Amino acid sequence: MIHLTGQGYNSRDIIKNIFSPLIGVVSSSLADEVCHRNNLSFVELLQPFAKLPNDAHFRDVSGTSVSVRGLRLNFCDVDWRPPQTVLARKMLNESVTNAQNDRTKVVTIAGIDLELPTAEPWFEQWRETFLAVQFPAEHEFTRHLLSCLLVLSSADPNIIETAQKLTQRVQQMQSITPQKLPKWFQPTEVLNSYVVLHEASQGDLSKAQQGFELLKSTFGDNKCFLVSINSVDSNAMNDMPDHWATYIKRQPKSDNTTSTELSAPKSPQEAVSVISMPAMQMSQLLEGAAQENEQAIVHPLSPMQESATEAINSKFSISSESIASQTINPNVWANEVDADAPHGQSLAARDIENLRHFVQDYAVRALIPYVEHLVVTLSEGVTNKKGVSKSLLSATKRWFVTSKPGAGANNQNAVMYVTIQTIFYTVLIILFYSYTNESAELQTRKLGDLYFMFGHYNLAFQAYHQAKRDFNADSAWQYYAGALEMAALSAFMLGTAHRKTYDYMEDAIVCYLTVCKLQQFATRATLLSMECLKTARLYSEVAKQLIRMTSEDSDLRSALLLEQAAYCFLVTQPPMHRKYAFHIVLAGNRYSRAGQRKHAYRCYRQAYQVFQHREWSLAEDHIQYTVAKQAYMLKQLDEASRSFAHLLRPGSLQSAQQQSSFLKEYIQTQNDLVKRSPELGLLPHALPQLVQSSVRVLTLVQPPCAQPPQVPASNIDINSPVTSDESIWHKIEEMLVITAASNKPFVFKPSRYLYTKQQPATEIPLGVQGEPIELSVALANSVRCPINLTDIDLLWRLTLDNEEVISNVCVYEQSSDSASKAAVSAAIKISCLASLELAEQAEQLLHFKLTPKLTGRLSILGVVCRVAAKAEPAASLLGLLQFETQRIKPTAAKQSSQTLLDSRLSLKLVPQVPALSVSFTPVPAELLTGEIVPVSITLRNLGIAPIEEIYLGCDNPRCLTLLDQQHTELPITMLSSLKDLSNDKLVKDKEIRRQRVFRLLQRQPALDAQEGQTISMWIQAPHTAGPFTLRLLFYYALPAAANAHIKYRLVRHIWHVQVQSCLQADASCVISNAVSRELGLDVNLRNVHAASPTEVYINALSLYSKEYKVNAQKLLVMNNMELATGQAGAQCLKAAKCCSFQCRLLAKDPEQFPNIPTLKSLLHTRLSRLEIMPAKNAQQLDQHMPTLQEPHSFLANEETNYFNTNISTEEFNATIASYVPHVTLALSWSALVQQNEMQRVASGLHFIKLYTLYETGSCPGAVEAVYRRRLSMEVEQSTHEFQLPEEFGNEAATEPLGDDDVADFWEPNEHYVSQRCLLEDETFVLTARA
Amino acid sequence: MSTYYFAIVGHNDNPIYEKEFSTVNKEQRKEDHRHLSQFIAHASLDLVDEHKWKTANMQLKSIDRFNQWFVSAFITASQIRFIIVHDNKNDEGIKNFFNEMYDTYIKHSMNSFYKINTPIKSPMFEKKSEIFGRKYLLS
Repeated sequence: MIHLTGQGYNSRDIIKNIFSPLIGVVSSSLADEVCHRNNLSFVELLQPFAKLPNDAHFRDVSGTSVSVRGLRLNFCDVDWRPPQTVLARKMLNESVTNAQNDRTKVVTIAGIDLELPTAEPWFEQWRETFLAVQFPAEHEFTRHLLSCLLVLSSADPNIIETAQKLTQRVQQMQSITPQKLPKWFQPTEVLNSYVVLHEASQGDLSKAQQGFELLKSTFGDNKCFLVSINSVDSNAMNDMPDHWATYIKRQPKSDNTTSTELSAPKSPQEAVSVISMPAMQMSQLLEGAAQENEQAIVHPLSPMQESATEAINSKFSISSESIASQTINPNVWANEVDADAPHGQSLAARDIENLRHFVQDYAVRALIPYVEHLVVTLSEGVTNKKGVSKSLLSATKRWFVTSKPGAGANNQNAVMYVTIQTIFYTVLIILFYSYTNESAELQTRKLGDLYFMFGHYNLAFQAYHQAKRDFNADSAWQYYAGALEMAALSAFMLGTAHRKTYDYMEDAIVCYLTVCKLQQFATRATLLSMECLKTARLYSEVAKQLIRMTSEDSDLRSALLLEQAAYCFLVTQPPMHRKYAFHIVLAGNRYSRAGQRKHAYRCYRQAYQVFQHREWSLAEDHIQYTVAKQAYMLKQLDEASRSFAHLLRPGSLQSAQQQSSFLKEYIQTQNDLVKRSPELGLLPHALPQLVQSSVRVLTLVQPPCAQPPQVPASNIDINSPVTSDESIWHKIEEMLVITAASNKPFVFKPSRYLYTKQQPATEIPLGVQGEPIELSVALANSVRCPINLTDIDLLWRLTLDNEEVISNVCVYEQSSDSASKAAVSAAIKISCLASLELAEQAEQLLHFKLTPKLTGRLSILGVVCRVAAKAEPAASLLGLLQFETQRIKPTAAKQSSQTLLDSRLSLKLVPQVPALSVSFTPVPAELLTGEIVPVSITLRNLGIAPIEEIYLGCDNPRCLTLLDQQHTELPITMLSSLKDLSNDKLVKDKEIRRQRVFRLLQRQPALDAQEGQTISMWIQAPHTAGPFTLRLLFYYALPAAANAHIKYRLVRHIWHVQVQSCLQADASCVISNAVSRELGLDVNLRNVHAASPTEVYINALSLYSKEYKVNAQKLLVMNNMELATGQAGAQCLKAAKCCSFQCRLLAKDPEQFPNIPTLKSLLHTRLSRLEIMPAKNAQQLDQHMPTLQEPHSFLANEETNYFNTNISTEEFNATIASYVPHVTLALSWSALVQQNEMQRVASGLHFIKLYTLYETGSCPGAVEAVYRRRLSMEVEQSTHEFQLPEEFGNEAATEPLGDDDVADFWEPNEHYVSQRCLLEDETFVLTARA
Repeated sequence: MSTYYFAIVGHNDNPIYEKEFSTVNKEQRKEDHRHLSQFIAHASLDLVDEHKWKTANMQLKSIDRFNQWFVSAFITASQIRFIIVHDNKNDEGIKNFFNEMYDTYIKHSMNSFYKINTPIKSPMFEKKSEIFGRKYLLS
């Protein structure tokens, strides 16, 4: 038996062991019994001691003594036969399966840490088995039995008789012609020696010696040996070390089950299914290569049947059937002996010594003299016969044949030629290659083999070299290749290997492979060559030879050789790690086809170390898929699912079909994993991806309590984008808070309710018990097939105030009881969509609403859902999508080194507080310019505690009036018309706040628990068309004791309205009667609404003036040509129609107020009214509108100068100090508007301010004029204190252009055109600043 | 019946551009080759390393083969590697293709918004490679 593994042999030892002399053993049944006491056969008994302990001496033919160091004898049962093909294949497979090595070493190449196995025992075991199962061939003699040992027992009463019988049997074997197995080196004179085993513990030594003497006298002194063993009773305990453990290879019985599980391709279909990825079949690709090498696919393991040629040539007379019927020596391969029992239990140290001594003795006394004798005989034969064999026939043959094997074989174009040549060779071989055993060529070869086996490599090389030339001359290619191979080995063993001898080996392999078609021998030669080349560090050569030996006929061999080749690439200089990666993949592929799952798995994982993070997407997918499949088969489900998860990563280049099959397998694997190890709980999903940055949390959610048609306050929408809006809200909030705090100093910090990536939660968000918290998150499907999500839930953990922790994780664990599940579910109520479908590579938002019923600290951990492919909803997988805590990007201003963590998913839940619900009556989405809409606000306290006070803040107070608003003071602008304010101490910020903040329900408390109140309010659309927004912010303070965390709460509302232009009004003041100096107001009106059916009715004109009132008797309609009868009155303006009229002004008595009047009385004094052409139900409509005299009328707003929030103190002071005298015209109108098949009645007010005579004021479009006016006043440094018409008398003297004409009393616009342009420019600047 | 797999490989052995050219139409072609092409191209990088110092030329010609596939390579001055895995000989065409692609690559790398070693996603580049592929490889 050949031993190559586990002993740390170097290359020379390995070659020596492979070519050690083979000694046949035949034993009598009694001798067998003796050995079996040790649980061993005689052959096995000798295995550990087969190496000679001392040097032996060997004399060659010239009589020179050569010392043979470390000679090893290879004992072999004569009845042993190489196993038949099927069994041999099984043995090879199992040798690989059973050899595992999980220990790894790390090698760093090109910055990549490669984890490689420390050793490859599977390869060594396979090589050993491969060499062991070879049939002895005809062209070489190293595997032929050199001599024979006949083993007898001293206890045998008829020892001579038994010896005779055995001798007879052996001689029969040796003399049979043609030769059968086993083959004998020199069948004519085999050395038969006799060994008598004596059992020291039982037998009588003297009796044994008697028998031995008898034997000696019969068979000769030097052929008989007496060995005394078993000096210990086998029942007694023996602490001898087990020398045999490493040598004896019986398949342990327990392995049978595991091996089938681990490897053993149960059926070809399964073997294929392991490696075949639906669209990835590497195997098919490799077939191309195979076909180049192999024409005839032969079973790899039977040299007998390599090819027809070979069968005929090698003169095996035994038919293949007879080989199949041969039984394998049970001592060697069968399982009958208990493998686990200790060996050598009856052997004492003395016995071991005896055995050692016997081997040495046998070699020196019997074997070597015999070999010396053989050498002499063979040498003589060679010398004598030289020249004789040069037969006429072989000479003739040389005429036909090129003497280089495969001269044209490498040339692909000459395949036909090669084929013909091969056939030709075959014919020749059959005809002429009847080398008899006595032929000189074979004698030379035999001589070489003998020298080689006994370590005389110099002479061996010479002999092989000679043989090689002879065989070459005879074109006996198989013999030639064998001789070449051995010559190369001799040179290597001699230490004189060089380029040429390596080429011998190369030639031998090529010859075996291409000419002789002997895969087996080519493989063996490659394995031997590998050892030689490795010693010479020619690793790339090794790799080349190994790769050449991969073929389709043996996946296992290809796999092993490819793996070895891959390792060779790593030790070349420089290392080729990418070649390694490729070949280890190829090896893994072959392993999986050979059913070696563990090895396939290992190879692919090794390859992945190179390929990972390199973006070779498809290659990576192939590796991951194979790893996943193999891991699944090997029941390493966590590995498998990890790899499957990798296949579903975003950016994969796989097709939709492919991905859906990946998904299916992933779901199956994960489910299997969960089923097998339920303690893992919820596993993270690979699909869909949770877009971590998209997580939004909203802690303030409007309770849905408004009854339609009431509209609830819009509040904050969780999906509202981050806009500059937020700063406007914060400004309003700041004003509210300061007003509410009645100027107590504090640091304002805007309250936060919405937390997103852009608005990270640096502080812990607060949630209120019993109030819902919204959470939205985007889920992305990274694969090309649609998926369905069901059973969607949030996973959370709540730490109560008493530090008790509850979580709904337990709901998803099988172990917990249903009661606790129910308790947990009651703690926090979660509502969201029941199912969600994600289209291929789509991203979708998922909304959750959590309502906490308890207080404490809440952490939201992740989303639980059940994922299934849309195509196969039955196969679903429950898993978890985890939230990751996001890092807050430090702002550029604060370069703090510590990273802040976003805490938007760990909320603090505080006890219940009052909650204000705000709702409104609906406002149309489209309004006309200047239209006034009544709105009633319903305030309701939903909490259990009263609300102390409520404030309302607004960003555009001009457009809003409140009914219950108590104006204690006049607006500053109106006040300034009464007295000079420039010396009053007015605080800018306070005035700004006063304009924008209103206190609602001025009582204590504002709203009791569960109480509701309604407030009337009007909104006026601006006079410019376009989009219009109005923001309302409600502030309500909480009772101080109620909650330390929240001092006040806010409700937001925003209106987005589209404003359409409708009525265009122009007015100017003229002197209508030069004689009476009566002033007239020319008013032009035009309906500019886009839709034709709109009808506008002008109800009334009101004049707000200090000095004048409208003459109610005089209304001169200048143009009523386009007036038509409408649905609501006789005179209406249809679309695009216009009309004009004039009314006259009367001077009023100067107003006299003893002190500052109230707003109401001031308005009352200054207003005068004139009905124009009212609609039929104008009175009725007016009831819904605030009358102009009321403080909450929009006239008051119009007359108020609203300060910009970022106005400078200088501007503020200038504004309040100056009063520009003017009159204001208020045109009250109604309109019938057709909107979406609905007719709507709208009413509104247009205001026109007039400053000077002949100046045209217009509305809309008056804004710019106002600015121009203001500016021109500033430029002029005007100190006019009175309204324009009054200038009349007073100003006459100051007018430089003073004239008798009344007209001159109107102040003409004195600016030159160019000046005006300049002014206008400045106006723009102002507008922009505003 | 010829297929070409072209890859530009960055300094970290990562493909920054991949393209396949084939005369075989899509339905007939087996998808199988795609990952194998990647394996072959990746394995040939070792041979590019071996050959690149042996010649002053940027064209490295045919440097490797695996079964019926040949690998031709080109290396730029900045050690960006162009690899073509092909199944029939077309030295002249490949040479021209490499030269044109080199030109295109240089222009693309001048774009200050392109970071070296990152995947090339320019539609212009894609179009050019399509044109040159059709012109030199498939014709």
